[in-house]
Amino acid sequence: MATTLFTNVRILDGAGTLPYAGSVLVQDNRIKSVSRSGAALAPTGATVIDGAGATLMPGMCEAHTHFSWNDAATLSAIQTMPLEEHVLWCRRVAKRYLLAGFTSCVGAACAKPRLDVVIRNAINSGQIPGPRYLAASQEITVPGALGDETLPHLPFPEFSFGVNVNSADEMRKAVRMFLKYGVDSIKLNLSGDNFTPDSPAETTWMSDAEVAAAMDEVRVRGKRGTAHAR
Amino acid sequence: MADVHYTNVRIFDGGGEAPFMGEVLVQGDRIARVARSGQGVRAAPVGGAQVVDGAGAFLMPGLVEAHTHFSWNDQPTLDAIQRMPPEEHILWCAQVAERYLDMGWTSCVGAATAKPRLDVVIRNAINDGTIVGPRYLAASQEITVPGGLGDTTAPHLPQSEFAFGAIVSGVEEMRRCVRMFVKWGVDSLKINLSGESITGMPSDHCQFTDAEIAVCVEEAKAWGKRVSAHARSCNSIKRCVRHGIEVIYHASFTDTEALDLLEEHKMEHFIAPGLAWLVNTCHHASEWGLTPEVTKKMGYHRELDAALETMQALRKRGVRILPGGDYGFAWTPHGTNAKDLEYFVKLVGMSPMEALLSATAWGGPMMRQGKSIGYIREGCYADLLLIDGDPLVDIKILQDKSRILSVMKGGEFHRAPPVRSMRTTRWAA
Repeated sequence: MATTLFTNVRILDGAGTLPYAGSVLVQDNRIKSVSRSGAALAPTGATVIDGAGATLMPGMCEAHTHFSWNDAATLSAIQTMPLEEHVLWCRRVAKRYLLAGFTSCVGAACAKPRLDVVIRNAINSGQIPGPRYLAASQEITVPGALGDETLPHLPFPEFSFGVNVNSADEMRKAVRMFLKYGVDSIKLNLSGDNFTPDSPAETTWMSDAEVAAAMDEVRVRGKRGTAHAR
Repeated sequence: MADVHYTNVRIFDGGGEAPFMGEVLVQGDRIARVARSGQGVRAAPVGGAQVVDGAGAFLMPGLVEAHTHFSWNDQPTLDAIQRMPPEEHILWCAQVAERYLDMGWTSCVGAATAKPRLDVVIRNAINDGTIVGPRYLAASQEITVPGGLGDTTAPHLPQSEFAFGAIVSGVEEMRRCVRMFVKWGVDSLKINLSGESITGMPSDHCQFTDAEIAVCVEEAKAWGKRVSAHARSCNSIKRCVRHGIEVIYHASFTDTEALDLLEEHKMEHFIAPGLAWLVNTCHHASEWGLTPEVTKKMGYHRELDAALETMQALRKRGVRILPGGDYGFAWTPHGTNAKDLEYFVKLVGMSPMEALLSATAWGGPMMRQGKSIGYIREGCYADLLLIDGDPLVDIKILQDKSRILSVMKGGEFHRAPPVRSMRTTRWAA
């Protein structure tokens, strides 16, 4: 990797103080030095970028990202996208986030079991461009609640946006499966959402025992729990 | 899309004549004008077009690969290909598709895919701009019989997901299988008619009944699809001709009857021998345990000799032999495909001109595009490579990415040529 010197930039350094004029030297993947002088000397071989007074700021971090939501109007439209197309969609969206300045994203749930994990790994191995990423599980929900997209005559799990569990034991099994795949976080749908009128925002359907089982497994493996909690 | 005006280039137009100095104007996705010019004489500039002064570099049609497997993942075994999960596999295919275009292959004919929809999805994603890749014809999985080439299930793991190929037995299973792939949207059906020694089933053995083959061809043709066959054995080659299977892959073992049949029907078939597989399996795969002693025992050295003899004979008889074949194994990694052209010159006896034509002029019909690709002619698609050097003098330069100065597909630069300041002075040959 190369050495890059940003000169003549207004530095917003992330600490909450006012921006100041200066220069920033980047070596390989780290910030080597930050100077309040606009006249820093460039090390040999460095690419010098004269910012002409532009603001230099840390990459933005997105805290609730769903690469696999496909800009469609319904959960069902997300779920009817076949697996192969879905992966290519995620690949494309990951790059879109990076181009929009989000250098880090926290996955908040994916639409099929391994999408987030695979995309995170592909970014990390350099196979595809994308932000730093933490991979999430699917939304874990209970029958009839937000994320259960099965229909009476189509009860198959593949039709479901979320993973349906119905007891602490089933929760434990679902969580363990996602941990096996390599997720960084487990997503629980604790409340409903007015987007799905049969399970509105102010309802809470998951039992304490189910939530406790999930968090028990999450802690054992040192992962994070996240919740949809309206 | 900006119009592009190549000036000062040495044009190999795909027609078989010696290259000539001239210029080529690209408008939209097509070649709008090809003009001859004397050395040092410039035609009038074209308003609004980006000018690429080739400085005497060689301009040729994009290469066409006749036997491509995007989903083969540069691993040593079929099993290792099949164990890649579908999510990783589709990302792999997307990565490889771009690699082909990088290396100047602006069109590829899919010859089989490792999971049912990989080829179709990649073709669609290329066409709608989701990913970058060559023009592509999507293939089915290899259709095979229980115990045949491509049946990688094990006695205790009989699930079809373990199989590399799609396994059928009987005409109605064949019919259902073909219809399923047609439903997914393939352009061609791949059927394994002969064995493959590395899998334990010798290359000169055959599989499938004539009735099964007939149903495969009948269904494919009913849907307007093409059939291609893995056909190493003599009998399997004859079956391709008799059943009207258009694309014959390998065609190693022949007798006089087979050669006569192929000659008699030469404009109905394409042959892609995939010599890289034989050459490298015999001589360059020791790192993966396939020493020359091992591959000799498997029968590959005998097959290589037979295949070269066949290709030399077919060349003399005017049968269309095309490059490409089974790249994507550990010892034949994707992107090294231009080695096929070197083998055509060194081992089959083609002139460099014939080798280039096999990858260009024959490529149009192989892609079912007639003469709209494979030529630098007015009205053709602007699939163009700018080459540093002369492949007619040294065919190997097409293997070197740095010698492929630019790659254009459909009037758009996939790789734009380097700017002048990065280059040394170039003199026209």
